[in-house]
Amino acid sequence: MTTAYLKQSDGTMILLEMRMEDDGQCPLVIAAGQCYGSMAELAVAHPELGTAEQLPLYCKLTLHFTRRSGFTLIDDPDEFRRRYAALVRHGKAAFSNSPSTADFAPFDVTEIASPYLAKDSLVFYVEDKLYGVPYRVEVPRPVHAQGMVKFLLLPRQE
Amino acid sequence: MNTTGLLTRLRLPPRDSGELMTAPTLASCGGNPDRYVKAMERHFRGNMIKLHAHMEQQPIELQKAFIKTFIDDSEALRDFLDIRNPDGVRKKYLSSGSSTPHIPDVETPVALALAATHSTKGTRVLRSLVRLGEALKAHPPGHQAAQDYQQRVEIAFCQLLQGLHQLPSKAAQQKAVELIEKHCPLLNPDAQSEIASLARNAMGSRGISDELKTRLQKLSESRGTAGRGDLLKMDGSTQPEHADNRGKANFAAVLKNSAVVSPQSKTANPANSLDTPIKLKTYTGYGAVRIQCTDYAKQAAELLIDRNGELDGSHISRMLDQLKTDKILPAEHRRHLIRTLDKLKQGGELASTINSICQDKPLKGGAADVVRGTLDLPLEHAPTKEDARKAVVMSLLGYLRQDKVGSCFATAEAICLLDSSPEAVARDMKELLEDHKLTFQQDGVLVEAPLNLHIYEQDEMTLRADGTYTFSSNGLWSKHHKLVDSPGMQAALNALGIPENERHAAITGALSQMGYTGRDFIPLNGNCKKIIEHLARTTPGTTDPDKKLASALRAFNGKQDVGLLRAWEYTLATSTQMQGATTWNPLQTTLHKVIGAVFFNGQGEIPGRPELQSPARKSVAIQAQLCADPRFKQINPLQISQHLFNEIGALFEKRFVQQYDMNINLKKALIFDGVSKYGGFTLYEKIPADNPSQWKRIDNADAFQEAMARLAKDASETARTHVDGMPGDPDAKREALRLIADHVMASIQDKTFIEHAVLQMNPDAANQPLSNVNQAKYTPWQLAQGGFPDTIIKRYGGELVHYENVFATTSQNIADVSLSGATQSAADDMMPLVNFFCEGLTKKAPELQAKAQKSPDGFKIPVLNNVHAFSLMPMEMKELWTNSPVTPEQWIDDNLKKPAMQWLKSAKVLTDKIPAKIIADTNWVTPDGRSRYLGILYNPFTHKVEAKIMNPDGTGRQCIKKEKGFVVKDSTYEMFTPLANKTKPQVNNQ
Repeated sequence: MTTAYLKQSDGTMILLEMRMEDDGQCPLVIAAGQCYGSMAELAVAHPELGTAEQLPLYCKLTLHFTRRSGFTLIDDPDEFRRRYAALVRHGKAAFSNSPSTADFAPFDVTEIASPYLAKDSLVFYVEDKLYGVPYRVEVPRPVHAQGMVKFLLLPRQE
Repeated sequence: MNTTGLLTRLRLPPRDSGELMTAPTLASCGGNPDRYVKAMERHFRGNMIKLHAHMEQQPIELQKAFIKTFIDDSEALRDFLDIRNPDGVRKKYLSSGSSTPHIPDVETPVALALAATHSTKGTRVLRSLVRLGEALKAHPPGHQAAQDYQQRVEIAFCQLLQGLHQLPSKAAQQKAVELIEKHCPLLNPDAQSEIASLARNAMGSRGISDELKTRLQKLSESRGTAGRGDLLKMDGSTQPEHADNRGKANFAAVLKNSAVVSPQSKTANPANSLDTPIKLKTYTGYGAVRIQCTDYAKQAAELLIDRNGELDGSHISRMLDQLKTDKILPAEHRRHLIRTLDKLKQGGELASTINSICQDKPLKGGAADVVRGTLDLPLEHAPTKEDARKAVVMSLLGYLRQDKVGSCFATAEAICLLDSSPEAVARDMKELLEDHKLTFQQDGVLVEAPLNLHIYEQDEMTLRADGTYTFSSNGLWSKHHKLVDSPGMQAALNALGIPENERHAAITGALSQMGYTGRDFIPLNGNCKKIIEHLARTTPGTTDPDKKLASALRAFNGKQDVGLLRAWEYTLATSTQMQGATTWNPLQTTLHKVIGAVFFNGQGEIPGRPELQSPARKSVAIQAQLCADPRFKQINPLQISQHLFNEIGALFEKRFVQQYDMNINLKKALIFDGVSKYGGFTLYEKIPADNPSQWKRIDNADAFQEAMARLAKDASETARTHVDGMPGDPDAKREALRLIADHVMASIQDKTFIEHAVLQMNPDAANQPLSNVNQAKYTPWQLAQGGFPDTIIKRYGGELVHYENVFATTSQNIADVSLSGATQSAADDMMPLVNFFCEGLTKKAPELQAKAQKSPDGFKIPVLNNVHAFSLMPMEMKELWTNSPVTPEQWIDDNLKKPAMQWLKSAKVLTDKIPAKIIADTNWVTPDGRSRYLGILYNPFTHKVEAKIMNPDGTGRQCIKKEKGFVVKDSTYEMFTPLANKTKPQVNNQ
């Protein structure tokens, strides 16, 4: 279980408990005693999640509901770019026979930014926790919109 | 008998010397060998591998004293060396009234020969030899005997001749020579030559009577009396270098001290005549089978892709004809080749996919590197679409086995796909080469997995500083080969521009410069890569060492393996690890199990361990105190505590990473991967985050405790910002935070923290005493796991191969390894597992029948337990799922019990002759590259169904307890069966 605080419109905070039930197959969020099984349910009940201020939390909740705990939100794009470049340059993992960041194609990380709302999607960037590979995530908007949540690799550096 | 390196030749090379500092010495045991042996057994807690490795480093005289005493007195070592304890075995296997109660359960003649030559007790020696005579009489090592059995007899004779002068009586010496005289002519000519050579050596030994010398003289002159022509006649084979003899030379000199026979036989294959499309060489040495299969695939790809890059099927008929007669490749791989070539010949989707690869998208970057590596093309060559298609065809015809990488969760599925759905594999490879990715689309989520360019170093040869190596295969050590003669090394040295006649010296020179001299074993992992790397950086005249190194490594790998096939397999493996879409996520596990449970969410109680004070309980108590404290009435201490938890969690995710380490020795644990003993994730502390070479490896309790303390301290600093933003008196908030943080810090530094954390990760073991936390099955700093195949299996769900989780068994029987690492008993009754397979296959009869129609010559389905993923072969149990299926009981009766009882009537000498039924592919290989399968049999002595790891022909059996991939106790088995034309609906979880 991980937790986060959601600041409500009246300034009070409510605790969101992100749980994984049914042997990891069923993501849930418990907020103010209510249980939510999807991002849509949660967003309807707590519309403040749709505000710009709460976008990072919305992204984390999306990762939770899509069961992609292997990824983590890039919340400081510049820091990530510096670190990614250094890791690719370094070329090796801490353990020499483990895959390293450089073992996956070097990606152009220029476009990485803080979460933002595009025309019909929420866009944010994540890295995978094991190898530091960056991804662009596109979440259909509004929250009830049909379509897949896409974890897309960035363009390769040629 | 010269015992130099005796232990080495028998078993494992030394891996570590961790116990050296504290291990007992002969002197500390008053010079009493018996006491010394017992003390050593205690010290190493029955871990014969460590004990053995330790003894390897002792003086020869001590080794002599050690092994003699141990052979006689240590059941553990006898078991380790496959020399069974007579008393124990008698109780276990034999019914009363047996006429042969001594050493009755002999799995190999080698064991008897070892028992004879290593025992100091005269009666036991003679009994062993008599027993060996009976075994040989019942199962003569003639032309009808299996190749593996012939090898064992040969090794046994070599052992007898080498230890002849040490046998304690003339009667024993005469008996040994008599056995060799009688049975040696039945062995193949090469074996006879080997034995003749050793007989000549034995003549010069002290303590050999004149009469025996005369007999040894005759033996030494009788080399090759059967002659090659005779052998051919007996075999009925037209090929002198028959595939079944391929591995023989590996073992011929296994017990010889310094024998260096030409390691690479380049005898031309007689099938390599002008009208055979593929010309194969016969190799011996490490990875020989894999090298041959790779060689075949490469030549085939050259033939099958024409100059325009189109698939050309005109050679396929001749290739198929050759495969039916040319037995140089393993039978199971030939079946795969025939199946795939047939599909290529038919054209259809497979051909059109291949012909479309890189049509509009040129090869670039990493994909181009993979193709260059696969085809061993020079660095300056820009791969074309023709090259890409050749690499794909080569992959489809490749020999995919799981090596020393714990990727079974991906390899099992990859092998099944390669076997029965080459179309899906070709599509994957097209996507990998054109777009550098594989797309996963399931449950409303689309994820692109990047092409994994990492090449694991997986050689497990044991290298010496003199440039020779040996390796263990099916428990036997090979002769010493020269590293320079391995095809991969030759290719690498060629790429480095080192002249042929200087290559051996270059290798030994490199090893010397790296600090290795003499005949010591070299504790390197990935020996070859390190040598190549050294040479690339030190060879004079090298202007661009990185470029040279890349080129040399590519050449090396190109000979050993099909690079694109491995890249595909590893991409599948890392994709599932990266996504963390299943419950598997090592970092999350640690975060939740340790930090969440221990400190914050009140779930930290350990059932059955009330003496352990739960930090979580303390946390709740402290929070309650703070809430009741008048100083904090205006603030919310619970929220402050939660902020600290969130900060610790967030910082934990940023600061720590788990890296896959295939060298983690998991003997301690039930869960292991790879070829069973190694592989898992180790925690690293990423400080500084951009320089992995400085990351701290957290692989023990102390290091973990220190790292957690640093984490809590830093998190409490960052939590202050959040707390400052909360309403209320700033001083009160900070004071509350300080008190909570102090509690967390104190809890981490408490001596019970580690035990508590480890038990959190091993809830099933909570009632067991935890004497050594580093021996626990799971620890927060090291997870002995590879991954789960769900994501991969789902990826192919709606297409050509559809799998469905049938059901899982739960705990059945058979103890294995406890939390403390102590082995309780062997896994020996496989009936529950066989029943599970029978039930699963019976339930899915319609789907299996449909699949069988598409793949009438066999197919595999992935099976997963909590140790290993492997491939069940349903066609071997087809009576269970045909239109008129038999019951599981009937199947076991017909296929296991009746043949076993028939065997019992005819012969009961060698239990490795009990008829066995191969039912699954373990996906493993021996170091020389031969496949290992899972077979089951009914033991008429114990009335139990037993499982053995064995060669595809039923030889080379190993007890399941030594390769714990198939334990039943506390294991969950999942079987994925193919469903015909069923498409799962896509569900948007949003």
